[in-house]
Amino acid sequence: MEVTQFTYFQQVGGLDCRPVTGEITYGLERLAMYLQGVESVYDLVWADGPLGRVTYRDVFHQNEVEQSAYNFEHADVAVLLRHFDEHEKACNELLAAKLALPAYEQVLKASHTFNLLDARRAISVTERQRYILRVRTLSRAVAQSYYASREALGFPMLQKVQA
Amino acid sequence: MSAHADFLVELGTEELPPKALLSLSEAFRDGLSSRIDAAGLGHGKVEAFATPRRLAVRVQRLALQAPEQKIQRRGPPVSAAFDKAGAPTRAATAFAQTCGVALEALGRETDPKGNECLSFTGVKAGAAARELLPSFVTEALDALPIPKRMRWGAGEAQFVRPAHWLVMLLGREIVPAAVLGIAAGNETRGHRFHAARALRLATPASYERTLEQRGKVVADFATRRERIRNGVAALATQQGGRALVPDALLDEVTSLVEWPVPLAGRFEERFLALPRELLISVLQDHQRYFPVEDASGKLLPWFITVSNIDSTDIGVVRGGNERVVRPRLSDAAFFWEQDRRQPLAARLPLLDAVTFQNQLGSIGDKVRRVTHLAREIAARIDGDGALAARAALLAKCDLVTNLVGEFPELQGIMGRYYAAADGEPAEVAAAIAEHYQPRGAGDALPTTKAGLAVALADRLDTLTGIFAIGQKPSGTKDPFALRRAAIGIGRMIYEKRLPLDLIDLVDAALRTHTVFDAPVPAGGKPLQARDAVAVQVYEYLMERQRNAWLEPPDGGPPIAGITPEVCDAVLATRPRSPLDFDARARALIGFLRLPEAASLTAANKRIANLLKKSAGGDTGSAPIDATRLKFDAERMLFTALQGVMHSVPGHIATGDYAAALAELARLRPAVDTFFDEVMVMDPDPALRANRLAMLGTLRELFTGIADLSRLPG
Repeated sequence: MEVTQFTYFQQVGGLDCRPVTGEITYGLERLAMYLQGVESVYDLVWADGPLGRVTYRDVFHQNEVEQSAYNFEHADVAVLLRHFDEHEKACNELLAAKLALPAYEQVLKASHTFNLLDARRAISVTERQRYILRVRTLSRAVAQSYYASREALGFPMLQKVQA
Repeated sequence: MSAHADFLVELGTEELPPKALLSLSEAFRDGLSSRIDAAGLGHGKVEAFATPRRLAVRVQRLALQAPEQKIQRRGPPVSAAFDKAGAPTRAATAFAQTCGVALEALGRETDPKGNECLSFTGVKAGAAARELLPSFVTEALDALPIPKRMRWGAGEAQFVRPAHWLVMLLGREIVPAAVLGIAAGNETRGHRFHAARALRLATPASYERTLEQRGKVVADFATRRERIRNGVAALATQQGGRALVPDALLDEVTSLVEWPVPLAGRFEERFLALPRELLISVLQDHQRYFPVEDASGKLLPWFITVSNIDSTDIGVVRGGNERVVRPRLSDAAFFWEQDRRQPLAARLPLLDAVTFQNQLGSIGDKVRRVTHLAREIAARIDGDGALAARAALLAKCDLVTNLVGEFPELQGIMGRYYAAADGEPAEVAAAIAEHYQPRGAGDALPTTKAGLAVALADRLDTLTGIFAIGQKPSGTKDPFALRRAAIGIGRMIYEKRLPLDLIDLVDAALRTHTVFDAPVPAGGKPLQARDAVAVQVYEYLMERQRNAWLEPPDGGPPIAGITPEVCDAVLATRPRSPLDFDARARALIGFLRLPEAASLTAANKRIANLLKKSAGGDTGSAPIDATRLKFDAERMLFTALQGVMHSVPGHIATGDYAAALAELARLRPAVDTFFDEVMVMDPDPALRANRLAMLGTLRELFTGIADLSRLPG
């Protein structure tokens, strides 16, 4: 069973990383399942104290059920499609105003909206690629904008490290 | 010192991409040995080794020195090498200097013009292998077929995965080298978990033995593969079955482990009720497990997996593997159960909520268009229109089932199962699965008429729709995979000999698109008219077909005698289908073997030029005036034309292009005589027009089959 994943980032937002950046992630639930010897994530012991035993189920199950119902059944496709367009528009406007960081938040929202639409199977295979491309285009523009803004300041934190 | 020694190079890396490992290993071996051969270094056997963490090549008995090369250089002519007094000129001394010898050591030779010249004969010592090998290794690695290289750390070196160590041994000696920023040494490394330490190699010959005995690594790919194959087979036999071991999966698993330990695991019997393809997909594609079936071909509740670790407690490894596959099988079973609670057809409304393409509407819209078109196509290929329409209606419904959402690779296949469960006719169920075929080069075509009709209709709909909204492929950008769609259409019509008229089909597909009638979106460009789009789609289809004819994608033999010019000559007549193209091309190739062909081809070119040049509006399409024939040669051509004017179009109408060309071949004497004796561009405009009219008629007869003016010669 895989419990960890290691990723090299050659690029971020279309910009080459020098040095190459790495990311390592662990599946804490999976590790805990091995350690506690349980078959289901919901049987994990979350806490065992004077007030009794609390399991992962107690903490997360209701959330999982409700969020699944939302994601797969209730999320309003028309509204989400509109949201995607709005976040894209907002991102571009913020970029025009040279506000890279708020523009970045709009990319995250557009990307999340795309994921919700995808979960609702509201986007065909054909259109899917184009939505991904739209998110990618935004993130490139944000990365370039942020880079330019830091460059204009003379990369202040980088100089501190080198000094 | 011996004149040769074994050479070993091993590049240690992070886990290499399993599906590419074998081809990388072979390319590394070939790239290295071809460079060694080119340098004239003799050698024995060249062996490749490949594991997830290493690419290695061993060259046995490699010559330590390249053979010396004889050098022959010619200098200035003797006449220019010495002055009148017999003293050497600057040219002579300079030549001697570049050859590195004294003037007296130079010889004499005669150049091709007969002049006596200074000459130098010498030998150049061959380079030492240890000096050549570093660049050979670098070049061979740089030339590996890697679609995208990565960098790592802060360095600029690039490879398919980060590289960590390098062994380069020539005999017992380290070859001084730095490749990908790593200095060569004589230490390899053992298994990541069993022997995570440096292992010194005494000689290249001890490589795989050292790794196996001290490193828990089976370095040789083929050895490892056979161990896995045998181990998997033995375990399957123990379970009373036979393992399904496709070559691609075996290679992939071999590429994932350095120390293979096959072990059998079990899953709950209730999952055997799932469709076979679904079970196999879960086990094989998602888990890289080998499924097991009994003698009758029924799957057993066992799988065989190959661990990379020789565990002290194999039960934990087995349990881990069983635990991982269980939720996937449970999901599959749950979805399979859920999905069948409602018939496929009940999902149709859901397709209206799935976008196909912004301007072209939902998948539901597409399905309605495809249903209409599939019914028409089925009728034309002697199929059952109602069955094809039903199959088209249901073809995309499985996309909104839970199972296909989770296992997209089973689209179509699950549709077939669900349709069969709903009691749909067998041909409808088959067509739902088949309409995705061919998925790519070499894939099988649909076998049912309904399957062919839906497959064609679906692709035609996408092709015409995307062209209509002005997003045809450009360069390497083809986000809608139109190229593959076009090739599929061509293959189906051509290989299944379907009597379909492509121009009609494109028109029919375009008529179903309502996007032409939609208002232009704000800021958008208005669409081109249907007719203009039809021409573009037709030409795009024929261009793909042209490539397929010249170089059959499946490596099959092309039409004997086909050339780009023959293709262009036929395509210029806008054949109405790939089959029509085929018949015309074959007839034309046959015609070109006739003795009359060269002269008539030349005549066609000449006529095309004359008609182009006659700026006076004489296009040669006017009727011929028999009273204005002045010379015998004109009358002879007129009579000859009269003889074929009705029969040739008759043959063309029935598709007998060979007969039409055979008749036209008989015109050669009349045509030759005409061009020998008659000046077409007569000063008298009436005579000129009449002659052009005759030539125009002749050319029209030919272009009914092919435009010969496009042929060479």
